[in-house]
Amino acid sequence: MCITVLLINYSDKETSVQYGFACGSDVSITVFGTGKGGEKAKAALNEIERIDSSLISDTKSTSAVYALNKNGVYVDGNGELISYINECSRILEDCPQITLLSGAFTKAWNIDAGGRVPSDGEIAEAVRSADMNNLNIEGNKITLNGNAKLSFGAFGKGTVCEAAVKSLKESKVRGGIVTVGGTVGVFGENDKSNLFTVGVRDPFGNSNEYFATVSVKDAFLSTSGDYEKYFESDGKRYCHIFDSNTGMPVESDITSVTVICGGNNGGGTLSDALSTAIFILGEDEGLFLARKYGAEVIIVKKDKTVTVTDGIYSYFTLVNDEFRVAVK
Amino acid sequence: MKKSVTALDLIIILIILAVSLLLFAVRPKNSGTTATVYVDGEIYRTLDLTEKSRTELTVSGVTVVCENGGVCIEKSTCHNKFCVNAGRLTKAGQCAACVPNKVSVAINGKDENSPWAVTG
Repeated sequence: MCITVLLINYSDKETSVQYGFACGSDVSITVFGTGKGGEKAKAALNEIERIDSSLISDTKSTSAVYALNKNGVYVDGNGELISYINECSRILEDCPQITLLSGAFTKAWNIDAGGRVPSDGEIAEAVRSADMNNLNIEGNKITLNGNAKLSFGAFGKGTVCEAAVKSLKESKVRGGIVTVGGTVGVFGENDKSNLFTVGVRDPFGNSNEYFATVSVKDAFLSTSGDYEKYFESDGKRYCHIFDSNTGMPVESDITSVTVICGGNNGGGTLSDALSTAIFILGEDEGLFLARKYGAEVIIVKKDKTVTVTDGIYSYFTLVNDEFRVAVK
Repeated sequence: MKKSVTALDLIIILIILAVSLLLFAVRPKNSGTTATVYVDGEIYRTLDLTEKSRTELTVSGVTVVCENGGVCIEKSTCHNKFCVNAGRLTKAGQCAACVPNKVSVAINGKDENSPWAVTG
């Protein structure tokens, strides 16, 4: 019996990893223990790919969003897209600086082809197109006015990360980690405990460098920053995060915002949306918004000062002493 | 008087030893000594990081170079070069990915002192 226990314990230490690509990002899914981990990780990846390619992608011709943007109208047979729009819209009520119609900004600033600075008239037109009143839902029919284009850029990675975590939880694995680009979901137990150490990327280093770590359990973490996706014109740097009120790329003393939300339903989508919203709002208004949702935040400024909310501070470890930390 | 060690005891001890040896033999390879190249999530090639000589392979527009215990994406046909900028991977669990070309490279295993994931 002792040997059987040993063997079970041994097999339960197994870790399976699955890599893939979705939502314009790299995806990794790690599963701990309980056999068939590889198959369960693959099933979770399939769920991410399904949501991306059939529902929310604005670049894949198979998706509902693509069809809506192309035709200006979409009949949502199973209601999945409408229910997702409604989930995002509830968050938008608290942060009108982000919009689901940001496609107008991406187009005006020509982000997909390297970026360019548009004229004031083009920016004003983009702001009008990005107004949420251009998105109408009647029954199961969605319509877009004028040049409005639906995009889940500020939400999608969090949403698919959450869907993969849900799929793994339903398949009864002992624990897991899902990463979709910079969004991370953790739940259950790893090979040692239910605490997962997650690095917070050094905005001034490469993608494997982190300036601090946080230890979390059953949580979603998302980061928005201006350090990777940007373009330069006449020596000026323009990031890819737009304030929907002005149509301009955000200019701020902040370089990255990490938001940590609980692992309950909606936590993934919320962490993704809040990181973008707080990046646009700035520290004071941003932290006010985070408190409303009970989210924890790590804000990194361009001068390497870091603000950490008090709820996460005792789980926060600075590993690069060039940064200075304040608690709020 | 009872014998202190019976034949049955010996057999049990031998079985435990045999199982221990078996477990030792099938234990996972040392963390951090191999890197795997994935194309669209499927394993394409596993590289031995302990090899002295330089290994270079090109797949789907991405050139992966393995040298001196580390691995990196040295060149890519992609536009943004985030994969190249990920730099050299040397610790178990580190990963570099080229999203446009759907190629990823990861060092297998997990470094004891490294985080499980990085947000950013």
